[in-house]
Amino acid sequence: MRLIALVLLNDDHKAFGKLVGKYQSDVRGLLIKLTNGDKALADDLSQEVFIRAYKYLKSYKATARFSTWLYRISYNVFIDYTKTIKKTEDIDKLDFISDSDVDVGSGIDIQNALKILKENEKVAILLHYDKGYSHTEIAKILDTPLGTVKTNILRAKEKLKKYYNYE
Amino acid sequence: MSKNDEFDKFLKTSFQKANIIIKDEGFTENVVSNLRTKRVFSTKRNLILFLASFSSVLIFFISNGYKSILISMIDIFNNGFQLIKPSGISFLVMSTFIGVFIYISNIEYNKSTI
Repeated sequence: MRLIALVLLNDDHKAFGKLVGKYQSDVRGLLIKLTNGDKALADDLSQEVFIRAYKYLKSYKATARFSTWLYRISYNVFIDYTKTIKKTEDIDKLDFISDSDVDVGSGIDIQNALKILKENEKVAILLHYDKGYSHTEIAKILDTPLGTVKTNILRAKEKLKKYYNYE
Repeated sequence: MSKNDEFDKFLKTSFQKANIIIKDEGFTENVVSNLRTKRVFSTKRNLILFLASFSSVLIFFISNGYKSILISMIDIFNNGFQLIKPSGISFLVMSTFIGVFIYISNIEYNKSTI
């Protein structure tokens, strides 16, 4: 909060740099997963996230964690990007992992699995299983009805189960 | 544990294993260098600056009399126009006036917490 206050009152770029340093790993990590492992793209989008955060810092209300607010911006930046590029992989066209390949213990590359999900499903599943947010919190972050969040997570799970042959 | 719970656990574990701390490697520096400096002047600050400037002029006039500054200004202008070196006193008066103006304005501006 102190760093945020310094940025708001004095336009302190050093203070903002400290904020960026603190949250850059989380934001970039999320965007790497959302962009199917495209690190360069994720970094570009992450930069846009922090620039928007700087521009709209006044609108941050301390009722939620700062990271939550950043994830909201990350989602908006990602969605804006996807509007320019429409790329949805059809689940039926992908090669599924056979039973013999599945090794739950070693941790299969989840990144490939996420490619089969639509953007909203991907974001919802990441915020829930990766970042640990509840359905209600995700609904607030994404500014989406709770029912929609639950549906997206359910659909995402069904697709991932099919992908991993988990049924 | 139900099949569903097992799959939930599997997803959480997979994400945890995929999570790594991403090194900064100049990312922060890049972001900060692309920030546009906001215009820190606001209406309130402009008002403070104006009032501070006005106060400094007023203080100078009260302490030195308005005539001295007017005479000095005319002297400098006339001599400057004719490319003649102005008198030392005129120069001193104007320098003092500008110095007081900047000093008081600066103090008031820095004191401002808006």
